[in-house]
Amino acid sequence: MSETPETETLADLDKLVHEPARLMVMAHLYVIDEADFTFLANQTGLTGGNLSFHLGKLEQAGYVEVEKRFRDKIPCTLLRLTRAGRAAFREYRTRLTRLLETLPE
Amino acid sequence: MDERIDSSDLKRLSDLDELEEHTYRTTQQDGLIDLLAGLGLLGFAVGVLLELPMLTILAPALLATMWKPLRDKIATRHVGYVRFSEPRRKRERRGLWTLHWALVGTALAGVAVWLVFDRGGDSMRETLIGLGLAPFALMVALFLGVAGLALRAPWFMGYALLAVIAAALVPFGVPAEYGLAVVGAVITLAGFARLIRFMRRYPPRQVEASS
Repeated sequence: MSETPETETLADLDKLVHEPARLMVMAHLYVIDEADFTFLANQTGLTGGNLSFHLGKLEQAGYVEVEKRFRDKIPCTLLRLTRAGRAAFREYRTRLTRLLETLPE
Repeated sequence: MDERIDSSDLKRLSDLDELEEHTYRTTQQDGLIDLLAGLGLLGFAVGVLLELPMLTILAPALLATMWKPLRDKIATRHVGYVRFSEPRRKRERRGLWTLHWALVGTALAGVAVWLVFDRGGDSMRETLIGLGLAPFALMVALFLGVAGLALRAPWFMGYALLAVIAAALVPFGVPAEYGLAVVGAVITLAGFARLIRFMRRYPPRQVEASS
């Protein structure tokens, strides 16, 4: 079966970003400079374990930078999107928007 | 916390400006600014009532300096740490400077009224005695209104309205210091309620999972 341009676009969506929990994480990190683990967990509503799992995936892909630091003698995990992460999120949004525009009303 | 991702979450993700605004607003719901403004006003009014000028002058100034450390100690511990983008931080700094100058302006206007009372003629003095502390109440109302605009906190307009009512009650025999004390107490309670709600909504997380 030959692929239509639409299915090609759908297939081209970044699967790593497309997963809903990771999409939430990336969108929240995209609109800020950096945040700690607690803030991101509160904003996304994900549990610690779940957020940790998805952050691991994003870090592995080079989309998220994780930095361990102490704030007022309390350990905290700082998170920010890398340049590649920002580009991947922008690209994902562009592709998804284009794809949605091709769908019939 | 509910871990389902529903359509409203995804809808919010489609508008990044809205998402940023929503994210910013969650950090502004701690009620600390209300609490400190209320306590400052209460200190001002109680200072006038008990004739303790130092309390009147120092309470608002001292409480204004406590906002940042309290925010770091309480709010950040609950909702977490975030650093917004440079344009957002610039807007926030501009708002805080406006608030700062509004506070300085209100204090200077208060000093000016006091100087007129102290050094003005008898007729001027009688007029001011007749007005009670109504001009102060109006200045407080103006300050609260400016604070509402600077902090993008529309509920501060409600506080400003309460201060206007305190000024309006002076001709009916209700001294403005009593009115301002009540307004201060109401703002303090509102701030306290907001803080409790915030702390319940964002309980401190003990465990930070490592990624």
